[in-house]
Amino acid sequence: MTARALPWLLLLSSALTGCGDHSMSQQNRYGTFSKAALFKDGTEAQTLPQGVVAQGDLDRLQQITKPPAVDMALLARGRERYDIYCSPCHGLSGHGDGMIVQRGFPAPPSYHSARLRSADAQHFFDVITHGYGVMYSYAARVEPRDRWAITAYIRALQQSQHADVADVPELRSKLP
Amino acid sequence: MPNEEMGSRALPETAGIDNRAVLAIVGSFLLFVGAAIAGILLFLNSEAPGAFTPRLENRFPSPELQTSPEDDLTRFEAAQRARLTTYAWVDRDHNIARIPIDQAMQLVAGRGQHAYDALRPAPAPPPGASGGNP
Repeated sequence: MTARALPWLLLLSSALTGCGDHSMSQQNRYGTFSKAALFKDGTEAQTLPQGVVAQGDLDRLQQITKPPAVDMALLARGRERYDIYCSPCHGLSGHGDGMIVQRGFPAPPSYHSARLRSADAQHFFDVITHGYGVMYSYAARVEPRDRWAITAYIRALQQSQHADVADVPELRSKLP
Repeated sequence: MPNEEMGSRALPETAGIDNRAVLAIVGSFLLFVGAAIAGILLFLNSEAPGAFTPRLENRFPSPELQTSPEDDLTRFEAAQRARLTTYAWVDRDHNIARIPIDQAMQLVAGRGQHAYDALRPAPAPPPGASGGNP
């Protein structure tokens, strides 16, 4: 009896499992901004609990507030990032005469002006982060550590293009 | 009778308009047009002698298009890199010179904790300044 009923049971179970909507258009979840009795305020849109931050935010904040130590590796990194992101407008040597400027874009100020040579490093970091004038923010393109690397490289550019002969050993003998 | 009717219908219809009048009107019109053109040419010849000569001096300059942007960028970057690799005087009177960027990077890296400091100290505030906005 059981052997004869088994095929029929299998057929019936297969037919029953085929019932229902399998398109996943109906899901057991709340819609965006819908009412939700599960929460006290009755809405699906919940703010993050106090103290919750996204992964990597604390490290990024520390990179912003604590400049890394300057060594040749950081300066090389800054030189690479500067040539990619900054030189089209500021020029490879920082005189504000990049190729974009040659084609008609407003010229940025030279890093070798008295004002920017006396500006503190935070100024350059903030300009990269927030933009300045017609320059837009590069926060989404340049990580905080790389912004400090570029800032340090700008100091190297200023040293390169405006060196005091008395501060550089044997410089006078190499000048024409 | 039928032959007579056929003979009279075979003749062409007589002209209703005098051809000489048409020719006179057309000829007069052509004479008027010719006289008007001649009058305009004589007027322009006396009042504006250069009206029929092309004005080459009014041509616009050709646009400054880049025929080879890659070559332009290569030459431009080579000229800019020359500033970063050579020694040169910037202001001989004030002993200011240009040094290669590699040497400048070593100088900055050798400053240690003061690597980020401004190369030129900020100017001191004038005496009596309040030091900020009220």
